[in-house]
Amino acid sequence: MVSSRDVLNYLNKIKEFLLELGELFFLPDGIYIQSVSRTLAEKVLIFEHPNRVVREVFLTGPIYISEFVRLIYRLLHLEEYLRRYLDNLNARIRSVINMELVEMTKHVIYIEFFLNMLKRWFNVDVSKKALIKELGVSREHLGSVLELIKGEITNAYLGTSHRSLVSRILPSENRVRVLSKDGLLEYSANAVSISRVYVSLDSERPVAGLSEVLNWLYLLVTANLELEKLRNLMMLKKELESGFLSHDQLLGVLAKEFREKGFISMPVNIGNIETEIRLRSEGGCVYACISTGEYVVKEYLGSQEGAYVYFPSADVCIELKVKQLSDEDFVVYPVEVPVMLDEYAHPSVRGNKGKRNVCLGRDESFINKLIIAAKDIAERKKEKVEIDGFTVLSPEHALAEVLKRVFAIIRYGYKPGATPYRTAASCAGVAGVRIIISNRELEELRRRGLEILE
Amino acid sequence: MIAPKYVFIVNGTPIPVTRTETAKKIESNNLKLKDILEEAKYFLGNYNNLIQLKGVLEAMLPFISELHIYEDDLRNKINLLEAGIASGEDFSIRIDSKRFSVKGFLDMNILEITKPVQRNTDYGLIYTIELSCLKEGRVG
Repeated sequence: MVSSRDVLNYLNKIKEFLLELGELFFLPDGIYIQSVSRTLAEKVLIFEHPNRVVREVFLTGPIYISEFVRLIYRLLHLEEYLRRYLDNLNARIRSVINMELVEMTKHVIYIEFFLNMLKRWFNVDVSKKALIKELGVSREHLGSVLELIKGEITNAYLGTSHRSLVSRILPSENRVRVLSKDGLLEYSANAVSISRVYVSLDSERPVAGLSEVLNWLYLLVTANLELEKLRNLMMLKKELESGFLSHDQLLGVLAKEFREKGFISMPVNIGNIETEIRLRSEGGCVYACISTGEYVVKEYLGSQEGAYVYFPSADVCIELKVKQLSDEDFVVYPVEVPVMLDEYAHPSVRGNKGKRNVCLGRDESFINKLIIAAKDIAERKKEKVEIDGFTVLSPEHALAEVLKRVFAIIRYGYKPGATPYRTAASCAGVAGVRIIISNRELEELRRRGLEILE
Repeated sequence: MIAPKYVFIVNGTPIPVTRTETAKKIESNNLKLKDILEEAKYFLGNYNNLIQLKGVLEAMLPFISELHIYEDDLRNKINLLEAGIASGEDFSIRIDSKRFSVKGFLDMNILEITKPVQRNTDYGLIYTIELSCLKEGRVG
């Protein structure tokens, strides 16, 4: 807010500036000032009584009134005012989101951990700028922030209405106005050429006092400020609507999304296979999950040997835990071996429903060690831990490695030499797993880009 | 030692080609998995010296976000590759979405499957050869 003292201060500065310029000449095409050079002058005003020339004034210009207003805008350092306004607005946007964050602090910690893992170990950087549409985040969550900005846009727009004062300052055709310490005076004028204008002194009439003109100019300057605000606000609104958010805003939006939908998903690429990684809330626990993606396996065991079995996508989940350390830092790390939570049948899991461990064969020991290492690094703040020739650099790193390994075992680990709970074909009939009955269907899946593992 | 024109990218980790003999193999269109592994081991073994050479860091920077974990990360990739080659099973190599078992891949000429990809990075023009290794394991 600008105080009345600020306004007085601004008016004095404008007055000083105008008086320093000397007389100002307002013509229909803009503002002129006296030229110090006759040769370089754009126009000459010849002030006369009938048949008697009183004085000749050589002018340079025109300065468009908008430019003149911007000059005063800079003189009053209103860019600084605009910067403070935008900083304040940013703080208000954050407070709108942070009110929600208060309830979601725990989720935000998980989400930050999740985003760090994606950035460092899956090369998915959503922390700098993110296209919300790609993240599957609905636009309605931006509603409260957009409402705040829309209100500011309305206010700024109303503040621009003083622009109409331009028509009060500039004269109509065949008129000239002169601003001096005595106020704004208007004369009738006769242009004999573009550069030569006769001004009749006898036609003089006062238009406004100096203080009134100062008020007009001040209002024009504030209208310019509101225009600048409007420009910035509209840009911000456009960015938000098209889905670009800063890191802080992104965390808030994702936390809200997570609380409402129970999960957030990000696309990742593992060994040139596109899949998804999710942060999921289930039964009061938070899990990091990897989607196996769809694929087809050729049966190599039992009576259905040679059959092709289609497996739809399923989540393999690893429970996460957040812990506050004695130094009050919060840490997140994986705490359990990989499990399946949804109804699904696979040779590596016993049973079709409920929370079931995933059998990881010879890699089970390594994955257990990764999980222990994650806890060790998080709680004891170790820089790294060596296990079986593998250096674990952070809890995020351990989790990323577990997710990648589990993804590979589930997808590719059913093959000769494996010791599954059941055959692939016997999984058919549960949660979309099915035996492919025709070559045509198999070829159709191949055309869709599904991996056929033979 | 040469300023790198080629960069191997293994599971997202860049390995600038600094040895003339490896660059020549690429240029003569004959590159095998063991050549990549040897180059990676050489680069890791001489990392502190090589990183000082003009063009080396520049060849890595477009592909990494954190330099301080690079050596550990590369060591992990080398160990993964070596373990895969040693076991000869449960391990696959992927290039341009084609999947190969490590056994069958060892004697293959990689440049018959893929070609160096020209990339105009912030640090200049380089050519990358990218592959992914996946330890597949077995259920049970």
